[in-house]
Amino acid sequence: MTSLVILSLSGALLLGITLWKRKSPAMLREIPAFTRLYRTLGLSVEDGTRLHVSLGSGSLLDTSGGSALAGLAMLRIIAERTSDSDKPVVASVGNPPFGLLMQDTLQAGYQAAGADELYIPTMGRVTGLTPFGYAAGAMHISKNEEVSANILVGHFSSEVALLAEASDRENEIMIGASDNLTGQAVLFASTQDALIGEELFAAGAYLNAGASHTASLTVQDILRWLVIAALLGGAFAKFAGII
Amino acid sequence: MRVLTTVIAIAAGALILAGYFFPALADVQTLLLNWAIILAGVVVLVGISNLISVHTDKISRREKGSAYSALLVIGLVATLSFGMILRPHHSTMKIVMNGIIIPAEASLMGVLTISLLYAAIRLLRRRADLMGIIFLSTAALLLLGSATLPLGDIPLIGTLLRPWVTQILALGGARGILIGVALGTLMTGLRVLFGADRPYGGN
Amino acid sequence: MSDMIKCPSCAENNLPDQEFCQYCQTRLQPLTDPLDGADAPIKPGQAPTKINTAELEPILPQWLRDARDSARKDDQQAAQQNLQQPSQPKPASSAKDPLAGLQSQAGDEEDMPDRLASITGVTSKPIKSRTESFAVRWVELGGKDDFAKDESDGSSSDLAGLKSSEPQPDENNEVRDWFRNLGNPEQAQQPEQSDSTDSDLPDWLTQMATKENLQPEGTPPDDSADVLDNSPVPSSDVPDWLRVLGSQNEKSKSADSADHSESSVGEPPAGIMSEEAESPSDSPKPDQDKSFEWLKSTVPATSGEEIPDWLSNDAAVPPTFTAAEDESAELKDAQSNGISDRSETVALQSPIHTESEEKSIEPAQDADTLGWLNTFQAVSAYQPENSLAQADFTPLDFAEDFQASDNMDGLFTDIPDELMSALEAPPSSLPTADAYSETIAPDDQTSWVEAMRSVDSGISKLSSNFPADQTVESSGVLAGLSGVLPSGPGFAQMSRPKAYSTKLQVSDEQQAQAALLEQILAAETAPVPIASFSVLRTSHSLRWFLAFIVFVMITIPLFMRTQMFSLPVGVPMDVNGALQVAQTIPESAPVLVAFDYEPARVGEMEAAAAPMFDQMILLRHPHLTFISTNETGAILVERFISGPLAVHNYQSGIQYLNLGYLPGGQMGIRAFAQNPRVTAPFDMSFSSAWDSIPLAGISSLSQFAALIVITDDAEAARTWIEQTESARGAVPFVVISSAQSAPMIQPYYESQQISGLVPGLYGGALFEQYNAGRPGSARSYWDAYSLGMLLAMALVLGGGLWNLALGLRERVAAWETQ
Repeated sequence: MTSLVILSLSGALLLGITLWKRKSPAMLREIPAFTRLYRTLGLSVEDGTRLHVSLGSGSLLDTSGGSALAGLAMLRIIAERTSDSDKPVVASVGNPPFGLLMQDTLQAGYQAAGADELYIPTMGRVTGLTPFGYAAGAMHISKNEEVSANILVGHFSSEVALLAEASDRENEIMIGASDNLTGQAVLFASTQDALIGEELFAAGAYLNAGASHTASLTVQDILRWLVIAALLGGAFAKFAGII
Repeated sequence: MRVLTTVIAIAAGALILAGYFFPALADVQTLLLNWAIILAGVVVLVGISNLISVHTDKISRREKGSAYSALLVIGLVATLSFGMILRPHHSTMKIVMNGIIIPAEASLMGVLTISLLYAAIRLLRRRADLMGIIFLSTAALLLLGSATLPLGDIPLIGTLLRPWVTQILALGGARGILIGVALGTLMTGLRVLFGADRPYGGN
Repeated sequence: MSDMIKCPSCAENNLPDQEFCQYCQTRLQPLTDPLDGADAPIKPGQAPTKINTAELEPILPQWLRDARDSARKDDQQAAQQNLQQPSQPKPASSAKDPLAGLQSQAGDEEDMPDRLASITGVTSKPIKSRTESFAVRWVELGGKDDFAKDESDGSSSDLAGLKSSEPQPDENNEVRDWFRNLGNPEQAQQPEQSDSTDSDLPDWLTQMATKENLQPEGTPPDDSADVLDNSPVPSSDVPDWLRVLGSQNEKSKSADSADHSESSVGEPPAGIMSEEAESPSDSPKPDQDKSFEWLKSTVPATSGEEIPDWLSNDAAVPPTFTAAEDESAELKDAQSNGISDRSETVALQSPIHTESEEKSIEPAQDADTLGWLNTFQAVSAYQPENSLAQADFTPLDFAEDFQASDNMDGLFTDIPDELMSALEAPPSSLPTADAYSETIAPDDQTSWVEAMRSVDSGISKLSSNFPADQTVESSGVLAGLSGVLPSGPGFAQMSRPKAYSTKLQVSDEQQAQAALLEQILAAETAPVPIASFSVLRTSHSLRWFLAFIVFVMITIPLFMRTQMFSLPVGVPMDVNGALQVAQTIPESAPVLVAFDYEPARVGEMEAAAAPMFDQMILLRHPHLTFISTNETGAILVERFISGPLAVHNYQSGIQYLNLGYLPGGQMGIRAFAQNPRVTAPFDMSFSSAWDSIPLAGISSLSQFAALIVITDDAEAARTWIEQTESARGAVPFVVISSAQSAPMIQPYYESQQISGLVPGLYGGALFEQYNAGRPGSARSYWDAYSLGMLLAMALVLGGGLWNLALGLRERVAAWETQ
C-alpha cells in the first residue's frame, strides 16, 4: 500500500506540475556538462563532424532501463538538432531491445526536423551483447567515424573506461552519465564533466525536451525531500525507541 | 498507427503495474510478463541481425576497419553454427570459449586496469579541486587497505579504516545516489506510462 | 491555300470558316469584333485622331453633364450681359488693361492659352463654356479677340495648340520675324513681305512695323520707340497705357540724348506688352479701368474714346533718381539674361528723365487716382544726378495717339524715389538708356504691379527721409542695393555675433554617466566569450609506462609463484556466514546456482567461488543446478565445472544440471521464482530438466537447500535477492561477488536478507584457509594481487601529486598571462 500511495502521489504531482510548467519557463541550475553539451551540438554541426551517442548496456526489463530511456529522450533531441549536419549522429547500445527503440527514436528525430529522407537505419547500432563486447564495438566508432564528441548516457559499468580511453586517444570531448556507481566513479575520473547520480535524468529538461521533463525534476525534488524526512524521522524514531 | 502503439504501451504498463496492487490482475500481469520475456529472447536475434547488417554494410563500403568487421561476421556465424549444432557443452565450444571469448574479454579487462590507473593519475590535472583530491585519497586508501603486507594485514588501515570508509562513508553516499537514481527511474517510467515520452512508434 | 488560317499553337492550316483548330482545338476566330475604323488599334507613330469632344458628351456621367450644362448656361448669360452693355470704343491706344486678358474665361472650354497659340502659331480653338465649375481657368494676357481662334476645330483639348508634334515652319517664322522686327526696323518696313500667315500677327504689331519703316532716317534705332511709335495698330487694338507711353516717348526723345541699350532689354516686357496689346477685345473690367487712368490722361481723345482718368490728369512724370552702381550692374545682368519678370524689371528700371525735365510733384487732385500713382508722384521728387539719368528715355510707342500726348513727358520726368538713388550711381554702373527704353513707367503699371510697387513706395518714402544716405550696401543680405534703411539704435549689430561652440557642454558627472551608458550599450552587442573547454592531451608514454610496469610487477610473482604476502587472517561475518552455509547443507541436496558474471571477470570470480564450491562438494556432494541471466553464463558454467572443479568429476545430468540462459532479466528471474518448471523446462541439451536427478522432486525455489548467486554486478545480486524473496522463503542465500560490488551487497547481509557474502579474491582467500588451501588459486593470485594493489596505490598517489603540481603550474601561468 505504501508503494501505491507513493506511486499515486508521484503521478498526480507529475501531471499537475507538467500542466503548470507549460506556462512558466523552467529555471534550472547550471550544470557544466549540459552547457558543454549545448556547445558541442553546435560545434559538431559547424565542423561537419559526427556525434556519438551511446546508451550503455542496460536492459529494458530491469531498473537499468530507466537510464537508457532518459538517454533515448536526449537522443531524440540531438538527432533533431543535428539532422542537417553533414555527418549524422551515430548511436550505439549493448542491448537488442534498446537497439530497436534507438532506431525508432532516431527516425523520429529526423521526422521532427523534416529530414526524414536523411535517416539511415545503420546509424543505430547494437555493438555487442555483453558490456565489454559492447564497449569493444563502440570504441572503434570514436576512432574511425570522425566523431567530435561522445555522449554516453545510460547504464555503464567499469567498461566505460574503455570508451573514455578511446575518446581521450582521439582528443574528443566526452560527456558521460550512468546510473551505476562504478560507472559514475570511472566517468568522474575520466571526463571533464561527469553527471553524478540523477543528473542524467535531467538531460531531457536541459535540452528542452518538454514540460514533462522539467516537471519530473520538480517531482524528484519533492520526493527526495520526503525521503530525507522519512530517513531522518525514522532514524530518530529508531534512536528514540519509538519504532 | 502511432496512436495504436501508444495505447498498447500505456495499457500494458498500467495492467502490469496494477497487477502488483490488485490480485485479480495477477494472472494478466503474469501473462503479459511472459510475453515480454519471450519477446526479449527474440529481440536478441534482432540485435544479432542488426550487428550483422551494420558490419556487412561496412564491408561492402570498404570503410576503414572493414577487415575487423569481416572477422567479426565470420566469428559470429561460426560460433552460432557450432553452438546450434554441437551444443554448448561440446569440447569445440569449450575451446572457442576458452581460447577466444574469455581471453578477449580478459584482455579488455586488463586494458581497463591500465585505463583506470591512467585516469586516476591524470585526475588532479584535469580537475584540481577538493573533490578530486578526496576521490584520489579515498582510492589510495582503499587500495592500501585491500592489500596485505608480508607481515600480514596493514594495521589500522586494513582492519579499521578501510571497512569504515567502504561500509559507512562510501556506502552512505552510494545509497543517496541510488535513491536519486531510483526516483529518476520512477519519473521516467511514469512519463512513459502517461505517454509523455514515447520512444516507440516515431514522433 | 491562301485562304487557310494558320493555327497559332500548332501552326497547322485550317479552313477559314473554322472556329477551332482541328488539330489542337485552339480557337481561331476571335470572340470580339475586329477593330476597324474608330475602334482600330493605334499603331506606333500614328497621330491620334481628333475627336470632337461634344460627341463624347453622351458617354459622360450624368453629374458631369449637369455641371457642363450649368456652366454653359452661365456663360450664355454672361455673354448676353456683355452684349447689352454699351460698346465701349476702344482707341488704338486705348487704356487697355494690358492684363485685360488676365481673366478667367468662364465657359471657355479651350484650355490652351491664346498666348501660347500665338507663339506656336497654331490657331486656338473656339472658346467654349466650361462645363465644370471647378475646372482650371486659364489666365490669358489680352483679350479674346487678340488671339486668332480656329472655330472650325472642335477639339477642346487644352493643348490643342501644342498637339502638333511637327512644328509648323510658317508660324515659327512669323514669331521669329516678329521678334526680329523689334530689333530691325528695316525689316519691319516691309510688313507686306511677311508670310502669308501674317494674319496671325496682331494688327498693332503690324502697324508698328509700318511706322518704323516710315520713320525718318537718322533716327537712332530705338526699338522700344519703334514699338510704340510705329505701330500702325488701330487705336482700338492698342492698350491705352501703351499709347500714353508712346506719346511720352516722343517727348523724351526730343529732350534726351539717345543712349539706348540693346533692345533685348525690353524684349521681354515688350513681348509681354505685345501680347497684351493683342487682346483688346476683352472688355476691361471696372477695376482695371481705374488702373489705367494715368494712361488715359496722356492719350489725346482723337478717336473720341474715353480717356482714362489717370491719363487725363497732369500725371506726374516719374521722377528720376540716381541709379546705384550695383544696381546698374544688376540691370546689365538682367539685360543679358533677359529677365522676363516685368515686376522685377520695372523695379530695376524706370524711365530716365533729365534734370531739366524735373517737375515738381503735384499731388493727385483726382480722387480716382490710385495710391500707387501718388507714390510715383512722390517718388518723382528724386532727381537723377547722373547724366545717364538724363538719357533720353523713349517710351514704347504703341499708337499714334500715344505719341502726341504731351502728358507723356510727365510720366518720364517724375522718377520714383527708388530709382532716384539708382540713377545717382556712377555713370558706368548705370545701365544705358536703352535699358529703360522699354520699361513701363511707374504710372503705367497695372494693379498687380501697383501691389508690388506698394512695398517699393514704402521704401522710397523711408529713403526719402534720408536723402544723404545714398550708400550702397557692400555686405550682408542687401549687398549691392542702395537706399537701405539705416539701422537705428538697437537694430544694428553693434558687435560681431557671439560665436557659440558646437561642443556640448557637459559636466564631469554627465561625462561619466555617458561613458557608463556607452559601456552598457557596447556590452549588449559584444559577444560574450564562452569559456573554452580545454581538452587534456593524451599521454601515450604514460600509458606505455603504466602498462609495462604493471605487467612486470604482476607477472613476476605469478611466474615465480612467490608467497611473500600473507593471506588475510581475520574472517568477516559475511564470509563466515557463507562458510556456515557451505558446511551445513544436507547431503546431496539440490542447490541452485546463478551464474551472472561476465567472461572478463572469470579470473576473479572463479578464484572467489572455487573454494566454497570445492568445500561444499567435498563435504556434502550437492546436486547443483546452474542458471544464468546473461548469454554467456551457460558457457561459463561449463568452464567452471571443468576447470577449478574438474577434480570432482561432476557429470551433467547427474551431479549438476545446466538450465542455460534465462531471458527477461528481472522479469525472467521473477517468473522463474514464481514457476521455475514453466519458465525453464529444458536444460542445455534440450532434455526435460525437471525429470533429471539434480531436480528430482523440485517444483519451487523453496525446495532447494541453498541459493548461491555468483555475480560481479550489485544490481544482479539485488535483483535475485528481491525477486526471489517471496518464493525462496527461509532458504539460505549466499552471494559470491566481485570486490567492486561487495560494498553494495553488504547491506543485504546486514539486513539479513542474505546468509553470507564472499567478496572477491579476499573472500576466496579467506575461504581457502578454511578449506585446507584448496584449490589454491587464491593463494597463487594473492602475491600478484597485493603487489598490484600497492603499486596502484603508489602510482595513484605519486602520479596524482605530480599531475597536481603540473596542473597548478599551468593555471598559474594562465593567470599570469591574463
